[in-house]
Amino acid sequence: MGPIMNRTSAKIVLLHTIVLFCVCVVPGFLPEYYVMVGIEAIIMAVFAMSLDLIMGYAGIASFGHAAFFGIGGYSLGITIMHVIPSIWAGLIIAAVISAGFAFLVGIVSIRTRGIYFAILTLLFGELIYRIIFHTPALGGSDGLVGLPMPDLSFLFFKIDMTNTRNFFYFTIAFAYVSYLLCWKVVKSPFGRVLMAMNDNENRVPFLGFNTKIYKIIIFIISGAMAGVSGAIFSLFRSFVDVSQLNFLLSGKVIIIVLLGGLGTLIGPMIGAVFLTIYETISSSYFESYQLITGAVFILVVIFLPRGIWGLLTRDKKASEQ
Amino acid sequence: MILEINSVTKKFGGLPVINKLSFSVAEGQIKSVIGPNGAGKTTLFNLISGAYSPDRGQIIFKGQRINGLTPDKICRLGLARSFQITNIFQGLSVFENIRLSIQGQTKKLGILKSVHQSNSHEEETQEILEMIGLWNNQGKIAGNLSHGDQRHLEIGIALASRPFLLLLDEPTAGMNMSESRATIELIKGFRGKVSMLIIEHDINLVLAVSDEIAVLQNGELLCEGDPETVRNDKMVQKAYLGEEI
Repeated sequence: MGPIMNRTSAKIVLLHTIVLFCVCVVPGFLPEYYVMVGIEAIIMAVFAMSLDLIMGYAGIASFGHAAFFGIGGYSLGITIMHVIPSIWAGLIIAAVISAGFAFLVGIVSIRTRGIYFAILTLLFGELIYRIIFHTPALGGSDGLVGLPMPDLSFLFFKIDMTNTRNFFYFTIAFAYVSYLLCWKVVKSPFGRVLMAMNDNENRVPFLGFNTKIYKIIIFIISGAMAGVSGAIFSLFRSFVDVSQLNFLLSGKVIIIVLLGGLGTLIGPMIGAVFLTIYETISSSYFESYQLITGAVFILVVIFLPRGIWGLLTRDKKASEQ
Repeated sequence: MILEINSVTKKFGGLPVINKLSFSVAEGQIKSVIGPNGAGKTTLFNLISGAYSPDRGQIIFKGQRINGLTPDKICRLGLARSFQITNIFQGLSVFENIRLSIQGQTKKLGILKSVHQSNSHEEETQEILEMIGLWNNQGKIAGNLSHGDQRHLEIGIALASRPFLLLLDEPTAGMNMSESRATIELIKGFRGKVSMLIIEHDINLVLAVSDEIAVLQNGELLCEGDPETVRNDKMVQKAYLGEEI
């Protein structure tokens, strides 16, 4: 087991370095517009990682993952507009509500597998979309507009979040903590059972594991993480609307995960940053930039089954270690 | 008796695959189930291990009724099985295949622990690996093992959950002579440590290891007894063994 540990710690050191570099240097040199693109990219990265947790490790495909992203956004929006103007409260409530919703979807859908599970999550996603679309209290098709941006209390400081660079540091910290959490989960005995389920789900019950419990727990963790990233996304844009929970976004995040490298955690994060930056740049030059996204996606699926991260590391799938 | 099966019936589409079957396995016993293809042997294993639920009758394991329980609960009670068609974790290492099975007997989900910190399974895993002769191959990806080694890993996974009763479904399926012989030795080594119920076509293995043999035909018990009795039974000879051996 020795060499694996060393390779893993090497990766971690590399990641630490990159994160520190970003935090200290990058926003200082970039125009504000690019810092804003960076924030969006990093939020998408955590969202994509939350999907990778269930898709890449437990082998559960969710076609309605944007529902959690949107629910998180709405939860934070309602909280800071109408309940208490605190970012922490908004984030906690977003996590709790999206986790609760993940539990509900999980408990209903978990008796099915593969494509049937995926279709059920798609239906749940559409259901939430329709409900919110037709609820005037949630702004209907306009969404919630004009979210306040309260200061973030951290230890003894009050951080001004209207400052884009502060928001950037906050997003980086969130992404880093989320990554550590996911890493911890997939490297735990719990995570090993997920990998076993991904490899051969039929055998796992005969080892004494109740696969449904494992699936529901990972689905809740994933849903909560998607919810919190959605909450931060809405906070940043100061509005939340139904485009944040529709199928297009669910589809996009699946593409990001596959582009970046399924079952690698870091891969989908890179995929998200890559795609967000690419789309931002190319969409200002020509309209049909998604044609190229589509073509790249097809090429990656055919020639790079392990995604961008697989190309960079030529590494085996995490579950093969 | 460690396992008692009382007039169990299982039908698929109205057709009884197991029909009012009753038999038992004693503590410490090695019992074999033989019978022609389609006799219902694997269905019987699926019923005992919880993959299927019987339509009628009772399955009692260590005094507790287990029909209707899910496979994971039955496994935790101490009843493990192997599969006829190799059913291992092809993409995981040999070590991890065994370690997971040991982990399956702990109650904790272990979400906050690190696999590398919980070295408690390390020793046990090594012990099982040595027992099934795969100690040298523990770092290999299971899917890259030879067929014979994969079959031994299959048995090892079942054994690693430290069962009271081990169900082996054709442990020598697809093996050559020397691999078969190694498997017979392996199974003989478990004698006294665990009760076993074995489905097997290899009559040499059956006669070499069994205390008792049950013969199944069309989902019913044709005959039961020690190897000598079964070998001399006229009905068995006609139905399964063909000519005298």
